[in-house]
Amino acid sequence: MSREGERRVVITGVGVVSPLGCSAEELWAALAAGRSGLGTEAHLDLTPFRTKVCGAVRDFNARRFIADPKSLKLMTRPVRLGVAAAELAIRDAGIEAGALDPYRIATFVGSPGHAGDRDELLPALAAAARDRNGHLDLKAFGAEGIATINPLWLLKSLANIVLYFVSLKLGAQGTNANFCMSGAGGTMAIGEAFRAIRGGAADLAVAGGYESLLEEERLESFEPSGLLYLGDGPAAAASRPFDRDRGGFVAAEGAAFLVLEERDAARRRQARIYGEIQGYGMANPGVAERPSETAAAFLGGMEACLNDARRDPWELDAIYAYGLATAHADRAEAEAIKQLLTARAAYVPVTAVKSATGNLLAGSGPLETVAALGTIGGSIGGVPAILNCEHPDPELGLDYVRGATRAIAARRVLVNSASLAGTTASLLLEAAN
Amino acid sequence: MKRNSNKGRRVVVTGMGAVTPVGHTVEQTWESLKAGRCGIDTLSIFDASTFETRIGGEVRGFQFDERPLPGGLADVLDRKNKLGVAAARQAMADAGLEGGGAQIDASRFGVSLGTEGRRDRLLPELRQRKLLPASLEERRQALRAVPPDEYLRYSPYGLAYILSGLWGARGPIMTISTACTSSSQALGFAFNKIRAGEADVMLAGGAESLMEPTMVAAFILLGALSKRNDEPATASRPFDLTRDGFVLAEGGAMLVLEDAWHAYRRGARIYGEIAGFGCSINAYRITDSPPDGEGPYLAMRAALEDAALGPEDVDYINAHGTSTQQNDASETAAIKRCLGNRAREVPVSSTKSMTGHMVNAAGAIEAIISLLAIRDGFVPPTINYRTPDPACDLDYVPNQGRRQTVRTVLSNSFGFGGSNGTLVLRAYVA
Repeated sequence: MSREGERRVVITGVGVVSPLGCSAEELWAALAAGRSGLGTEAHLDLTPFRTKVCGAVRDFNARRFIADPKSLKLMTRPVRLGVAAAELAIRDAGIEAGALDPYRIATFVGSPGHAGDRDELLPALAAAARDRNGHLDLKAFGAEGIATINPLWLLKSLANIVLYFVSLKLGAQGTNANFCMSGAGGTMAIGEAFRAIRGGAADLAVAGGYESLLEEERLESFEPSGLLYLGDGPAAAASRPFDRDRGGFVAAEGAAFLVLEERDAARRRQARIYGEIQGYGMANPGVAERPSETAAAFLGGMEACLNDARRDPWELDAIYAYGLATAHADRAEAEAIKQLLTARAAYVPVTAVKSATGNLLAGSGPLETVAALGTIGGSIGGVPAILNCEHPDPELGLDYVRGATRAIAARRVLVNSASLAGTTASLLLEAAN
Repeated sequence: MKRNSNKGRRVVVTGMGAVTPVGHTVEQTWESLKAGRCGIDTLSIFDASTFETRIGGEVRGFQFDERPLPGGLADVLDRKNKLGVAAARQAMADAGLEGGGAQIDASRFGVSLGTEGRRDRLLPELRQRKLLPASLEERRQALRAVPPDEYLRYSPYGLAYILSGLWGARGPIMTISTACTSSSQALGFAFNKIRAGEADVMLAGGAESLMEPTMVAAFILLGALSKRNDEPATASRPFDLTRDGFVLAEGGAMLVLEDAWHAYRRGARIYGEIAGFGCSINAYRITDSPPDGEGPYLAMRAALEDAALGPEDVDYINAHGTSTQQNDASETAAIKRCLGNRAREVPVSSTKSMTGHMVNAAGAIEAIISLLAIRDGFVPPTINYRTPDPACDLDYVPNQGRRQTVRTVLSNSFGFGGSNGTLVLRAYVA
């Protein structure tokens, strides 16, 4: 129910690089079949870490997506995953550089932020720390160390490097941003791209997110947080959103990007339309506690999104939950969904993709948006099950999809995301006719 | 549920806070800039004596007010976040909003920041965790010693979490990282949130501290920094022929953006209006703007269009003016293209000649400076301007500020990675 005369925004391209495969089709097939993407192997040697289960992208060959060797030299693995997913989305949409006014193309990315290859500093550090017990000698670091560092180190660590490479693909010169908001960042990128097209600032946008926890520095700082799953049970059973026995999220890596277009333009060029974005909303806990997720913030994000779309809660056919699989976050989100749906809470199916992929942080919102397009577009054949939700937390009574994909024709789906600081972002998707 | 149908609301600035190399408050900073005082000196935060560049814009004598922070927020504070919190406290007090979300509708109060998460103890950590452990067991022990808050301390959204927690902000929260353009975009997107009716009040700005050995080293390796170690106060010389790179600086700069009607109803003092925002990306080289100024021009043009203003309305341009050869020439080309015949009549100055380059916080401090230029009718100078460059032939307000009526200012920010942002700041007339 859009406002009269308002521009509408559809999705015409999707690209996925994930633990469930390197295409949207593989993602949808795996979700439909209830297959887990989790395992025990990563590109990173997990031996020193407590993390035993992870969601790794397997058989990723960057050269399939990024031809220029000079560009590859500037990209760490997470960046390559992001650029590859954007490349897939653009190919899928069938857009050619030069077909549009560059200033009318928007680019929005959700990213982990500044993240370099720390090992490139090791020789310089060794120069500054020759004495095993002594202090760091910054004089030696300056005099001899700096010259040993890869001069491109800073550019490789640039927070907005994927935004830069994505802008190059279509020669995009329009509005843009790089959101560093953990698990909400990729969803914000899609939401702001949607706003830019709807409001007339752009005609087409490439938007999505990427992130990896399967990097040494990330695992180092996340393992002590108490948020990660550190168990050594069977990999496929590790991620248990909304289950009584949930034990944190599984560290994963990956990316997903979408191409958004103004609907009439997409129709004119006879593009394949995966679905429409009807609303976007965000909210924040505004608390100084940790963990920070609150029911009020999830509810606020969902309500702002429905408001934006001029839809009411009873019009929802399914919810793709954030489903972080920590005790605290799942309780807050389930409580919010109950408050949103009231008596209808027993009838709206809720799923959680992280049960199969683990947590890709800024990559998860876009990945779950692509997954939801598989529901409303029919590629999944319904709403996929939450894996391992064997004993739904009795306090969180919602209609969790369990066991197998529920074969219903859901046309209108809400997708929830959040950051680890509890900031929420929600999108409302609707089937294209 | 409120329907947000009221598009096109006006957005004013009702509070400002700044901690910079030239002052610990907004007014101190402004007095320094008006007087042409430079805040750049030899680095003292760490021993940079053997670094090719060993100068920077430090906030000397910065004392963080350790008033107890709730919920263990103190554990998440690195130097950059302290500078950000200090600036935000000033801005919220200045706006008369010390009570934050308890004073206004918390669900319509948000935070929008331009900042980054970086490891301020990278070398000691790397040494402890990677270099020293000789065995797997030692490595594991080192990993177990990592503090539980580290993921948040080094996260780019940590400061937004702290500020929203301090003042109970429950509306839109954003952290944008586009290098030198971050806080310009943070202000621009916050402006759009209020204009579109998604929020009434946004605390917006940036925080930065690059005074850490690996970051200074990384900028040296790119060849981006001035090497005038022996004359720090004249090292940053935007638009001058002899410019040789920028000077890193640190600081925090925060503004309270508010729906004009909301501000009026509560009787808030109004510094000025954000009248427009334009945003573009170069799709060119990762570190450079194109010589023809295309991307920056697109941002400036879009900002003026957004504000429904033309070149004749512009009274002053607060330039990005980093003092690198290519930026200053590219920006000059963009200004000429945007303003046409008027380009030579409009004063253009780079206050980075005095503050140095506050990178993620640059857009926010320069928005504050632009609003003060409007308030006081004073255009701050570009200091260290001695030798004209034929490629930079505008009125750069050399060395001496000027009294002049200023109603409309363009504030430019361009960054590594190619993102550009231009804000239009304007005297507020109800």
